[in-house]
Amino acid sequence: MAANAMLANRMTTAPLMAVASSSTPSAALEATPRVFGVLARTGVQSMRLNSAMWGMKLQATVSPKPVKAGSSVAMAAYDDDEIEESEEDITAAYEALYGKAFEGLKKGAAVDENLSDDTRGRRGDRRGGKNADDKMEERVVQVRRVTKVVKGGKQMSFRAVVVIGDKKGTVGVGVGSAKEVITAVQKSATDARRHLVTVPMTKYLTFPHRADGEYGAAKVMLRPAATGTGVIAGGAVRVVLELAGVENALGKELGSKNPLNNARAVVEAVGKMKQFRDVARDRGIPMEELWK
Amino acid sequence: MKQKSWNINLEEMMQAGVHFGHQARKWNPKMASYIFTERKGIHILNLTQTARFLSEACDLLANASSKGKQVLIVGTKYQAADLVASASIKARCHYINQKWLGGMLTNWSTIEKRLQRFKDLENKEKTGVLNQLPKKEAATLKRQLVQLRKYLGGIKYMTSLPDIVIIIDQQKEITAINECITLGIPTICLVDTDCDPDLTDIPIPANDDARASIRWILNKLTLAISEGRYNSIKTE
Repeated sequence: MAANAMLANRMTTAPLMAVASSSTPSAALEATPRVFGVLARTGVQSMRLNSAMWGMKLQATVSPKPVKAGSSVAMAAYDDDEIEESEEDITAAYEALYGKAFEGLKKGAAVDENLSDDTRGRRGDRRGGKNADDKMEERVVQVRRVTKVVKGGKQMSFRAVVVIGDKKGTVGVGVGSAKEVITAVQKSATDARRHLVTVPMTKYLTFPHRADGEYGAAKVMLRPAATGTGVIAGGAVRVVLELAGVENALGKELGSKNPLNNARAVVEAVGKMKQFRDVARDRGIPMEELWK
Repeated sequence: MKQKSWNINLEEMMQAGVHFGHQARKWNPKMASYIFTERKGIHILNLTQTARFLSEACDLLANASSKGKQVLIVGTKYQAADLVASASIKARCHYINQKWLGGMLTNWSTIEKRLQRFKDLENKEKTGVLNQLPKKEAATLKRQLVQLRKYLGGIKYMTSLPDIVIIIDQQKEITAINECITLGIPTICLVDTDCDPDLTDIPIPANDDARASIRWILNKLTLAISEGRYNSIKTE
């Protein structure tokens, strides 16, 4: 017994390989008394354990080697699901942990079913909702009418391309389509918020170096410029750069002139840019080395 | 991170049948490093690696639940359904043991609408409004309530996206895994010899078919969760 106890003590502190290679399952089965205390107190008021009953049950099912009655109860008791907890106990335990059921549902998630009697005058504030919180400026780059041809004829809808930016270095490009223009613009704004990137900028609000970006057939070349130049770029490229907060830059659309693809190409190009401090950190050298 | 042994015993694992894989010809070659050998056309998993991953998963769960993170257990296999429910109730976790509805996590705002409907119906049932309605309407509503309870019963108390997700069979719950990857939620998954261990954050190479094996592993994981929670209560 003493040898067993010593072995058990060593087991709890030794690394896992020792357990794996040991050939005494009973030693590994002996849990510390603290674990047994866990089960008595976890689940708050719900677990009703009878230690003597569990001990006997254990001896019947597991190894025939002599096992101390109270100690290995914890592990096996957890294995047996004979603990009967009433519904109220379970509910109480869950509520103690997570708050009452359905508590976290936002007010706006209510659905207009016929027999619900909550007041439903909340149409107005659902529009502002999620998109009004962050201080991002939106600009619509393109709205065009697209058609889906079905057996009965043509089904029209609108596709909007929107660029979102906070003029401090974060931009995102989003697409959305819907039957109405406003809905499409909202959808694309939500989509743009899911695809935000940060633009690396120097203190003179320009890029650290030249970069090329491609998306589809659109190819965009971006080049930094001296202070006072302004953003010299066309169409979608200009919108993205202005909303990013870049003040001096040159940009040229080299391939296709498609606005959506060009906006995405700018995002790609900007993702390739690196600041001096990033390069120094990745290479593990001080920044001064890079300027030699 | 303290090193605590979770009493993972290899002989117990073999008794539960954790080491059996699937048929050798159905394997995923990415599991090659976790497979011990092949016997009679069935792959056998290397239990020392299982023990290592299981202990890592238990450490993670204990750490997370001591900080109050929420765990979701997903297991929709026929063999695993009731085991998942009982294990989660013991550990006070959320669970999904019937069909995983598409978009449960990525389209959480829509699922919340269903939970709201669930709440309304349960309130109605409690206050007895349902008995006052005409028979047909009452029957329709009761059926709706039964359906909602069946599919969403385990996530009643979930207020927002979970922090860790435990998945029982990777092949069956592939939608769930993809949703977690899109959202960046860490996953612990029981991978068998026909699964891809790179999809999940902590793969636990184990048998996902046998009830005894699933039960044994779930016991260890839920014990870790309860321990972590108890530790946090104790230190408060």
